[in-house]
Amino acid sequence: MLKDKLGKGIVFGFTGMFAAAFAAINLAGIITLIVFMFSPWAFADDSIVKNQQANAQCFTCHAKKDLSATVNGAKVSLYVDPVQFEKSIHGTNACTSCHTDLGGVPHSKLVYGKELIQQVNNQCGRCHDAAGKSYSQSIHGQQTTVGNNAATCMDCHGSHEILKTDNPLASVYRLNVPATCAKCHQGKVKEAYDYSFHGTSVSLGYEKGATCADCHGSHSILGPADPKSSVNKQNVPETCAQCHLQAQPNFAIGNEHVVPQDRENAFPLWVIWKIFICLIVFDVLKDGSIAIFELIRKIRSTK
Amino acid sequence: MSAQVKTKGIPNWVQRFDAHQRYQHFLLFSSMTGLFLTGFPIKYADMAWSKFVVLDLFRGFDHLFITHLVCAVLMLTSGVYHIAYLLIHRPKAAMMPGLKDVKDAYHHALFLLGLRKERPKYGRYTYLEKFEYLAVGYGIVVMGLSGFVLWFPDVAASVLPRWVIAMFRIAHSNEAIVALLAVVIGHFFWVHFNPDSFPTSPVWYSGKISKHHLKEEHALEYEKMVEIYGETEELHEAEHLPRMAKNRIFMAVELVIYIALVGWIFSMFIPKILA
Repeated sequence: MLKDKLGKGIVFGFTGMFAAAFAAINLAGIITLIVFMFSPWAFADDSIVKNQQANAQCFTCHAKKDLSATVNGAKVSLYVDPVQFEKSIHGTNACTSCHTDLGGVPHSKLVYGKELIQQVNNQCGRCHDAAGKSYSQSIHGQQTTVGNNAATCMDCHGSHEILKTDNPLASVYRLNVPATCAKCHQGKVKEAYDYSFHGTSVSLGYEKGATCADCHGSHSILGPADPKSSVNKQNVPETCAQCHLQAQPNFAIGNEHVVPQDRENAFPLWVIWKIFICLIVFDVLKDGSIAIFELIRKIRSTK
Repeated sequence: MSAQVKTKGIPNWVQRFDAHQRYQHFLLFSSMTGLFLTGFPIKYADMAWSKFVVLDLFRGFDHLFITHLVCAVLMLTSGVYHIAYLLIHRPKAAMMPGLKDVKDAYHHALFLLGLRKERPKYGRYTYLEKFEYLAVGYGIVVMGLSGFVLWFPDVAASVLPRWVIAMFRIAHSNEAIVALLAVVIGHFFWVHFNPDSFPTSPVWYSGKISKHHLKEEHALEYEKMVEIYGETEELHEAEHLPRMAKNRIFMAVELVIYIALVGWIFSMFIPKILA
């Protein structure tokens, strides 16, 4: 009897507990759903409205095209295109989320030029944690920290017009990356990249073609001498294998970013280039002169 | 037709190439047209016409590039077809150059300079045709080999270092110009722009060559045929002459175009030799 009751009780207990747990999980799920579906939206809406109201205040002055200040004798434009800013990925952020320490109107504490860039650059990492950390360890970040001229976040991403990587108008969109890097990295490197199949195909709109960032990395970019760099000779095979499947040690043997005209750094290329140019000229010399003399002969012998 | 049957001697149109040879030629020239069309926009990517071909004609680099690869395979197929044809049909080695061709070339040069009155007497193939034939073979090997290296760089890198792969790219991109110029300036002159052929010799679609042309361009072959067919009645010259063969204005216009073309190409490439 007792055993029976006990058994029933246990059975009932299990069923009951199971039903209760099931109901609790369901309820918790529904509550979570409501919280996650509606609250953040309401919350975000609220902050967006607040930000936009605050930004509207900034734009009462900064939307004027002729707004400028004179710093060290040079005229500096203080105009910000409000339409472009609102289209940017940060369009719903407050101006003050990047421009901290403005100190009311007029902005008495304000810094200009390089200092302003430094100040704003330091703010990006507050939200973009991972990118900020990689950047500060990169060659760009290291150089900026010691006060040298190197790419800041804004040099690649833009400032008031920042767009997401997958937006074809973004400065960091795949097909725009070479032009963005070339704002600083000009000369031989740029010329050789444009000559390469990677550069050619990207310039013709090939999304699979390698851009600068595919080999060099983006936020974590390091110079080729650094053993951790993706373009260090030790790491080149693995870097190539991101696209070219097999990581061949042979990929690292030879100079990168050279054009055949560069006799000093690309002698084998220079030789083969000269051979083929001679072949082209021979071709035209032979076929062109035969055609020309045939025509002259025919004109003279025709009556 | 009936007149032809009754005429004793060489027929007005002589069969020169069989169907297999014409298929090979068709495969070769159609694939090469595709390769030129899809290759040069890559070489000259910064030109406005390249952007037009890639973006407007092919609607994107992907399509252009896949067309290039398909045409490349077709071109190699024409090479394989030709080798199979040689092995199975075993034609006479009339395409092989010999000492006579060197003499013919010298003789032809003298003729062109007006130092000799008669053209050299060519056999079935002229020295220029033999040269072109071998050049096509060389071209297919160079373009095919370098093309495969560029197509599968990681496979090539299992034997070749990076800088040799880079050399293959220079070869590929410049041999393309060699091939284009050989076709447009050399080949097209003889089969299209030559006043005796203009607008085209029919040999590439019908396989036939006119008796007149055979006599002019392949005198030895013609003489051989006379031996086989017997005495041949001369055709009325006017009946057989191509439309432009006596048109001096046409020839003068062509001459100006050729001189301008050659001058333009020299002005582009000779500075590169000296640089």
